[in-house]
Amino acid sequence: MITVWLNNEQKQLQDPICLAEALAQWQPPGEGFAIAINEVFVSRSNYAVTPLRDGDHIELLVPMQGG
Amino acid sequence: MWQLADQTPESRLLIGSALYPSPSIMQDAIRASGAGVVTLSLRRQNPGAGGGNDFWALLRELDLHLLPNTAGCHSVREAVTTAQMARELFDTRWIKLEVIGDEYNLQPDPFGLLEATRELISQGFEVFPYCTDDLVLCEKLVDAGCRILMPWGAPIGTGKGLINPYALNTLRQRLPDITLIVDAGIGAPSHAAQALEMGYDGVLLNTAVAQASDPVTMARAFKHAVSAGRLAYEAGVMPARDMAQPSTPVLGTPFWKP
Repeated sequence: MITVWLNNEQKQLQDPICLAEALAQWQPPGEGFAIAINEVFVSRSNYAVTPLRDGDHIELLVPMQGG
Repeated sequence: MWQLADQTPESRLLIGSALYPSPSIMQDAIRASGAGVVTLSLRRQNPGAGGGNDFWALLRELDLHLLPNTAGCHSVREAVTTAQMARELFDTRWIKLEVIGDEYNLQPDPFGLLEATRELISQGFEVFPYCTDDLVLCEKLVDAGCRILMPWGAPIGTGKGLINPYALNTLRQRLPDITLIVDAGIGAPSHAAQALEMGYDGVLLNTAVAQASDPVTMARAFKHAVSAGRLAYEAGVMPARDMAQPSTPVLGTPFWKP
């Protein structure tokens, strides 16, 4: 098992696992989100080839009101 | 119509999507403003919490051009990563670049802003930098490739209007070919009109409309103020002078004796 942080919330995952598999478990809404791991943007086309590692910090951002 | 990067919006008002009393008032106010460009942001939301995509659906109904921001970013890396995420999520290369340097007045960090601007332009972004009214900074942003600059009128959310008209005027005079938009600090429609009268190409505001007692009516007021300010600029505002000059003809003045 590995421990990652999704928007600062601790998550346990089996090892090995890629980002696409983790997202399938977490089920974010539709395609209305974008991802960065350890402050590095990960494009949607790379989800399936991006492995998650113990201690990774994942930012999952959605559209929000802004000025 | 005017040229804003690769777009030709009808209105010179750009409007924010935050702080409205309700989602439906947000929609109605943005429609009433006549704005063709709306700003929005990205925030954390854990799966299952809901909310973000509801807002997104409402905003898409308005069918406006989107200008995502990097609000809340305090470093070049945060801002660049947020911009990349926004580009994918909103399918636009436009980014309102904010790199905050001071928490008290949310003043942009000029050094980080310039560095992030260079990086994002090299990656193909159309950068709309939220900057101070410092001439040298603005010149360096133009040198970096910015076609648009967005100097503050006053700190975000203060509603103080154009607190340094001299500096804003200087920018307009020294950067005649750059699209200049006053972003932040506008509190009343008269402030927006003043910016347009000075020759600014547009204004971007949010709180002044969203936090008004009646946001929809205030949005309409800003729409008219922006149009009036632009018309005044095109018509040519008379120069101010110190000495009074009668407007009524002096010739034939009654009771006059030589």
